[in-house]
Amino acid sequence: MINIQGLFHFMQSQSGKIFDELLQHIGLTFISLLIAVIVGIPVGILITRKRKLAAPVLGFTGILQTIPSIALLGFMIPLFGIGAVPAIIALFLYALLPIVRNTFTGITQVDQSVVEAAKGMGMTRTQILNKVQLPLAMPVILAGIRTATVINVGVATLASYIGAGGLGEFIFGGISLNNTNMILAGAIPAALLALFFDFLLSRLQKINLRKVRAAVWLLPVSLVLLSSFYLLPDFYRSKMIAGFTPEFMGRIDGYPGLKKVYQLDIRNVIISDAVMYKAIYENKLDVIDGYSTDGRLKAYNLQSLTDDKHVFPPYYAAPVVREEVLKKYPQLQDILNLLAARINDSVMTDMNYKVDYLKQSPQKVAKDFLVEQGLYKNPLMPGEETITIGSKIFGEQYILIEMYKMLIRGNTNLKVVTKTGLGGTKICFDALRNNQIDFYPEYTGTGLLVILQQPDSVISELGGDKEKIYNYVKDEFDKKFHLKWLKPIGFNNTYSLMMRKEEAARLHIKTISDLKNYLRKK
Amino acid sequence: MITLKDVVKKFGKTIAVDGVSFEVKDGENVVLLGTSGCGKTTTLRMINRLTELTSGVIEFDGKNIMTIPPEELRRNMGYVLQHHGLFPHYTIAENIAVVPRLLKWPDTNIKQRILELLEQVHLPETILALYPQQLSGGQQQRVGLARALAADPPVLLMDEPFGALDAITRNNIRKEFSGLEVLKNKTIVFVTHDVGEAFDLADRVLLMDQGKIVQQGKATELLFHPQTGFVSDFFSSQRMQLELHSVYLENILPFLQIAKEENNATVIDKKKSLWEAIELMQSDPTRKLKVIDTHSDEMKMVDYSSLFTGLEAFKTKSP
Repeated sequence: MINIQGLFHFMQSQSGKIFDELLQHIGLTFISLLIAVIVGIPVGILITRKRKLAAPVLGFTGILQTIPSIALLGFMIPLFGIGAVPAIIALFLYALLPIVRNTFTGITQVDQSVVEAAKGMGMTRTQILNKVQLPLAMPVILAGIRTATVINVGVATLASYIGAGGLGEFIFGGISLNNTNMILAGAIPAALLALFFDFLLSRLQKINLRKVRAAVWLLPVSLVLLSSFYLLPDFYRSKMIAGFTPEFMGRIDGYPGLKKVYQLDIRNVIISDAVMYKAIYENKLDVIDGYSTDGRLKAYNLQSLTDDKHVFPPYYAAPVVREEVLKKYPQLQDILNLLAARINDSVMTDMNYKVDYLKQSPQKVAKDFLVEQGLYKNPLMPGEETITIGSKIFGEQYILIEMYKMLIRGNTNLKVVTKTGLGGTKICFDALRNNQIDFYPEYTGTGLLVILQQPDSVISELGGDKEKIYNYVKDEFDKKFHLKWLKPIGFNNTYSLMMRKEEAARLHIKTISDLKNYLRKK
Repeated sequence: MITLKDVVKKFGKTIAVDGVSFEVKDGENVVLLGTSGCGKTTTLRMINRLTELTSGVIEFDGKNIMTIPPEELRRNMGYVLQHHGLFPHYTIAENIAVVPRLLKWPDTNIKQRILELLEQVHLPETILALYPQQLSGGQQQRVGLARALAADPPVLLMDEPFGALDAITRNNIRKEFSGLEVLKNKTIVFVTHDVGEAFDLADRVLLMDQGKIVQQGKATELLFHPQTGFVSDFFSSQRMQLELHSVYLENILPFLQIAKEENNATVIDKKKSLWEAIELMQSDPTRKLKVIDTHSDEMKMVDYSSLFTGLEAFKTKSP
């Protein structure tokens, strides 16, 4: 599965970006660590003096630690937006517990008779702290900083979800794209980084007590130095900033395609689909990728740029079903095909708008549509047999699988289980192949480019033709995976680049070529 | 030098020290003696304000200690603890130099002072670069003493300084301490539960119980004239040994028989204690000793039975 040569080749071709992301990763880790040290050590000292505060403070930082990292990053978005600031704050919160706790433990574990002696000799509280307590607690405090560093190197990979950069860009891009080399290009440097800093700090910890004074100076200096790494890549970057999903970043029909066909070169951050619309709306980004049927296009007043050189292939949605399932429940095929050619682009956009922006539930939108189309039937008594439907993690898929659920429940005695939010394409597809789900809605373009990963020659031969691609994908899936593509639902949810309407108008940008020309001008 | 007037210390509702008053004169060695929990350590710690008193007054050199900043007060009072409390991350030299450095002495003075102190507490110069954990318990305690003496404070507060040592080391180091020249003109307040230590070191013993001073005076006064049952009970387990240690041949001379001329027993100095007399007797084949009574210029004879008869007579006769 892992092709070492391929990996080297990939890492070599991406070495510039890997280096940038590595610097950013180190920067993110250490800015937050530095703040955590600056805040955590005094807090740790404070709670040794005001013991009543110790339990609540340690409890609070402990609770912070238990919040799943992705959720903590999520909490940060409404408060601090996207980018470095919320990521640093989240990482800072994670680093806090080990530092506060170890400072507290380190100081309280100093032999009381030594502290008494220091006091008895007439040392002031500050002198006792600086000359006795902190030096003696230093190995324990350093252990805390070491733990926090390793945690931060790990959690910082998630920072790419909110556009803060770092090695996570490769990892999540790779997961979305089913690209092992890409995952490893992020994961290997991240793991080495964690090991490297862990080793350095373990050396520091073992330094003889005598030399602790030197270590005490070395630490803040190196922290500041490493923190500044975050700013480095920004020195050589351009005026507009784009936010792309990890998937778009890596797909041939995504940013790489734009680069190749349009020679588009734009400074970009990787960002989760969930926050990028808000970010562009708030002027934090200028260009984003999206789907042509996305309801938020309408909600956030965005302009879709015309793909004048036809980089984005057609993306017709259709259910992909396991062959055994169709054999076992032959009635299923007709039921699922009830939706065939029923939903066009504007209908889908409108439904997405209702879910994403008007916050109607996917169930309600799905039911309204089926009722209007005369397809809705009241659910029958469920039997023992179960059908499991999967979906990727966005609204359109939620609506589609709700419709399928209602259709199956209304026309058969099958029970239906839905597994929503299976992340990207890779996760859905693997779940299907491993019999964890029975079918999910997939797009022809994705099937061609992400799953089948056909060479350029095949793709150019198909020439962006809707029918040809559908038939090709259908045949290949059947041959290779024994998976059946049913009839397309009708709409074409292809990629598109989007800008704020007023900015696009101001800069006279209507097509992707216009965008490239604007960026070229400088 | 130090005066305590009606000093009380409460920890919450428990009264640790209950109205203690005493005075320590310049150069005097006072021992606070008592069982654990009697309030002796608390009393000591109130003198250098490691524990703040609840009520009453403590004066140092005629000044109320509450008017002196605690750090300044403590730099004038050397402090020696049971667990030496040496800084594990400092060398012996750095440990001894702590207070002089706080007082910002010049480096050359500090160096000289360290060498002086090493000699005074009988430690070799070779240990200066070592760390405390590399020394024996007795050596650590001596470094602790040197550190307390570093800035030559007029007062020394010692909190069971030999308490953590084994019995043999403790006896040796105690003997050595009582002979140390540097301690001769210091005002010392010494806390212990060890009666032997009190007898060896004290000019005056203050026996404490339940936060109060039960009796104070010379060690022999407490031994022979206990004012309460508690005082006599306190000494009972070691009474015989203590008596033999603190009564001298000259005290029992009046009760001894004149020696016969032909007796060839060893002659012993009348300044020796009865304990020492017994030790000598055991090594003498006649089991008898001769001692000169300078008053009557007579040679008197002492053996086991006359020694104990004499002791009993001394005890009943003495005021």
